[in-house]
Amino acid sequence: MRVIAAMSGGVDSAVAAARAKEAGHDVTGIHLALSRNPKSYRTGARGCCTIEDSNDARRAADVIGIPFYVWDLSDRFHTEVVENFMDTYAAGQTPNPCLRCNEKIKFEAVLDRALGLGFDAVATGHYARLEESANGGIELHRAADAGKDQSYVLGVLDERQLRHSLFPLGDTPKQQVREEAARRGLLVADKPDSHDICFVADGDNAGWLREKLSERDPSMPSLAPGRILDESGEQVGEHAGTGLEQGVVHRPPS
Amino acid sequence: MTRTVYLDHAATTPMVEVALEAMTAHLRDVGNANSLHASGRRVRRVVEESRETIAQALGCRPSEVVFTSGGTESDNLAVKGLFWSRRAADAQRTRVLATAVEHHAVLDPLVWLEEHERAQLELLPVDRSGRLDLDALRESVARDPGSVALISVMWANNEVGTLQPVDEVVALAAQHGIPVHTDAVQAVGAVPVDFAASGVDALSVSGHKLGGPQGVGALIARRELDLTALLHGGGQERDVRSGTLDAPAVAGLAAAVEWAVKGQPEYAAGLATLRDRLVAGVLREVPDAVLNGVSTSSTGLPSSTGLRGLPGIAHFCFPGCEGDSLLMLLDAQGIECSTGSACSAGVPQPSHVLLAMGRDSDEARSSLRFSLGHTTTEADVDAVAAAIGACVQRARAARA
Repeated sequence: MRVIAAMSGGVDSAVAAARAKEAGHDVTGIHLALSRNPKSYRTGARGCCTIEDSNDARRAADVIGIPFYVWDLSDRFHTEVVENFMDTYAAGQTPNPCLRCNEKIKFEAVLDRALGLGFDAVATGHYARLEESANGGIELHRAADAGKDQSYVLGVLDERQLRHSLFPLGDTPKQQVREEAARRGLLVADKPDSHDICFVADGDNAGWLREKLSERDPSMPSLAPGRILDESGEQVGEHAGTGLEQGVVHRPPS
Repeated sequence: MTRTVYLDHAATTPMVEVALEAMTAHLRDVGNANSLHASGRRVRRVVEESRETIAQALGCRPSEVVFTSGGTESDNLAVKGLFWSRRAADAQRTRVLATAVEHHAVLDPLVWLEEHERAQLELLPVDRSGRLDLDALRESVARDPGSVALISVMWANNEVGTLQPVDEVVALAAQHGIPVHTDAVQAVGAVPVDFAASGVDALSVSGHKLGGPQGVGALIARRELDLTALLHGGGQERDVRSGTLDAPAVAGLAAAVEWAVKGQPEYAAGLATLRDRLVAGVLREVPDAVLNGVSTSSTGLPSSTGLRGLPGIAHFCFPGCEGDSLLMLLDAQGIECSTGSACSAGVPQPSHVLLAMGRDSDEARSSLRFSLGHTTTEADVDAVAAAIGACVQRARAARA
């Protein structure tokens, strides 16, 4: 198959690309430029959208021996993921931007472009497994490494998207992936996992939301700090704004 | 392995044999050109003979050749060095005028001067072929000639190949004693360039665009021109540029410049023939492709009577395509070209040149540059014609 390997600059997607090549596929690596201003995104090991990450991905592609390109999807990412993130918060709900990114960017924008260009599938470093079901359908399963399982951020993909997906790491524990990366000479072997929202540069999700949401509507009530009362009306604490106190994603983007 | 069809000579062109020989002949030499002993003098002689060779080829005096690390440093030295010295001589001189289609090596220093040195940057409009609007320049200068620190107008554009009206710019600037810098990185060897005859005050040259090594270039600067240094240290080059010279690279540069200038007329004619063959082939396979930069006749082919661009550049917009997709598809078949000037971060931005030429963002993103050079053959350009139709179809499908 002709395969596009989406390479974030992290260890997982690098090993996934290497495995896809080793499986005999004709693999081309791409890195997604998701930020309109790369400096505004997380730096170094924590994000997936900085120039350093782009260089890490490029170097991994060199070592694996596959062509490498940067695809600019920053406009799509901004409307589909970043604005959706704000909208969801503003509506009092808790978004999962990584899930949204998989749904709209990696397995829609990237996949569609790849298929148009004559590729057959997109490979990523997600920890999840695909299995053929008894009736010939395709099923998404949890990864063998329960601690790293990411099937829950892929649950939004439909049958067609799954048919054109490859998750070469689904059967492997994370620790083995790191060891394999080191064995393959990939310099990202010991690069730390990313756990944060890539477009929030300093990791202060509440501060970022306050700034962005107040740019839209400074009088939004959920931005106002207030008191936390129990059922009897007794004050038990203070909050920074109800719209900012919802839990943010608790699991890593990939 | 597929045969490589290299059509990105405007990014870098292979070294010519005479430059390789000149450079490698000196790689084992011991000596710093500034040392006073015999070894130092031997290396110094290589540098000075190279300077004389370049002066002879480009119509300047040897003392007007300032060696640099390449086109970017030459451009930076020219625009920042001129701005600082001109403003130091007269504090009113804070305006800098340039075309909107300059290379980033000129544009970005100018923007930096605007942000950090309170320069007033005026980027002058170009027409749809990318040529400077002389009336706009005239009006801009006339508004207050005494406040203009410098004018920078490239000799030929690196993306679309359009030649700029340098003579007219010089004539206009001379009326007010305003110095003119020109980035001639793409021009030397492709069109006739004579420093003294052109009347410009400073002219940038790069080694690897004309068959010399990467990492070396020169700023040709009039002897009387006062430039403030960017790099301070030993003052090796006329006190405006410090740093031990890379003598083997300088020798390679000189050999390449001499080769390029001497052979320019036949070389350009040969390139133009190949370029026209490429253009005809592409337009045959993709009839709605749009050729940019050179004025075209009714057949869509470069016009022999209108304004001519660089002979080695064929720049197209392919409606409905992403240039990036096309580049990738052609690359997979061994055909190497460019979507514009190479970008360090690898993040594709729509070309400022195309935008300045009145194209919208989609049109700018649909562009592709094939640039021909001294190794290009008919088989190379025919390979593009053979591949481009299917690639355009695929790229359109990818965008749908």
